[in-house]
Amino acid sequence: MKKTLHMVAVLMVLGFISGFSLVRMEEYAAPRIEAHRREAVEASIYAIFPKGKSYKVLELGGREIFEVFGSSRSPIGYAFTGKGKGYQDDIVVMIGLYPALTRLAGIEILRSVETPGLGGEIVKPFFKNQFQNLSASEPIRYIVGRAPASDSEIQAITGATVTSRSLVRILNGEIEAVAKLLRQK
Amino acid sequence: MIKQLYQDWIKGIWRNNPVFVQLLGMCPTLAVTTSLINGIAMGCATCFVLVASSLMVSVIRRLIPGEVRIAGFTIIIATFVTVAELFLAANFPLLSKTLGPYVPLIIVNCIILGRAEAFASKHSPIRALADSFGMGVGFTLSLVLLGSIRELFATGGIIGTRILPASFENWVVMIMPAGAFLTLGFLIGLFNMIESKLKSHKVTMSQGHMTQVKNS
Repeated sequence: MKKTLHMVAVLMVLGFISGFSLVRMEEYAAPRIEAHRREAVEASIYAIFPKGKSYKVLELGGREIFEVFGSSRSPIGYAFTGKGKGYQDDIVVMIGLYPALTRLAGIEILRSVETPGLGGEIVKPFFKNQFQNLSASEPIRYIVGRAPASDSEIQAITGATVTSRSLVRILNGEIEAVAKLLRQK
Repeated sequence: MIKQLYQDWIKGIWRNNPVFVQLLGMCPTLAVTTSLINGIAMGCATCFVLVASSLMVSVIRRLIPGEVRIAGFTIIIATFVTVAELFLAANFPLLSKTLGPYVPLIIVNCIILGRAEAFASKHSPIRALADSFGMGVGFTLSLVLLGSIRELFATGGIIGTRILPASFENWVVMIMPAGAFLTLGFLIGLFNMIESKLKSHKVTMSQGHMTQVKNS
């Protein structure tokens, strides 16, 4: 009995000390982590809209849409995040649309753990810059083996067709959903 | 005393190297060593947890009843790992993003529980400190070695500086899991080769000494 009590007491004291120090650590880290997350989101918005100077958060249909402003008072575009299955895990992407909602301003990959050297190449300019000024009025298509012929086509990455297809699927779904919300506004 | 501490420290770097000799902690070793920076970060995080938890275990080794020692060690280790994880996320967001789930996985890294159980729970805090610091440095050096070799062949350079000639075609395989196994295999082979050379050298030396003694 005495032994059991001793065991319980030691573990309780250890757990208490551990919990206490973790709370202190969390208090120190949480605001910094939140600030970094916000910075990453902001950086991606301004990477898509280099002329952007400020943004306003719109809450539409339960999702956050960033209305981006330049030097004038009318918005120069909308940015929003999209998320979906990639080849290995979820891909999170920031998508930019021009105000008319018919053309993409560009995309920025916020999170991806695709195969390095293959699917991982989606974060590189040569791939993501293909989305700049792409038509958004019809679904985006990815193509293999020839140069894009229309302005709603992008070239898939060799050896990473699954990643290219997933990304295009995420974009098409999210663009349609958000454009609908913005038109209803 | 100093000699003892030095022995405790140095064995983790060569004779008992956690990666190349004990083959412990293979999961982070193989998974995160895609680049030099990742290797350094993972090595340092593990080293911090190893030293802090070994020290703590050694200090309270007489207070913990034997029946619950593993549970006690795990609480201590998990606490330090969470501290390291939060610290990385708060100060090095990019690094913590690339290391991803492997930082929390330090909790189950067998080097740490292994050193707590095999050494820290039986020796004084100062010796536990020397032992765990040696193991931590040995682990970090191994990860740095693996990470830089893989990064060199996969990208042709290290931290963005091109080292290999431009005609070198990058070996993408080196950055993938297969490259980790290949590199680790070759390094363990190299380690064993050097070790056996050293051993045979020592044997011939002592034999030479013996014959000399006989002759005289």
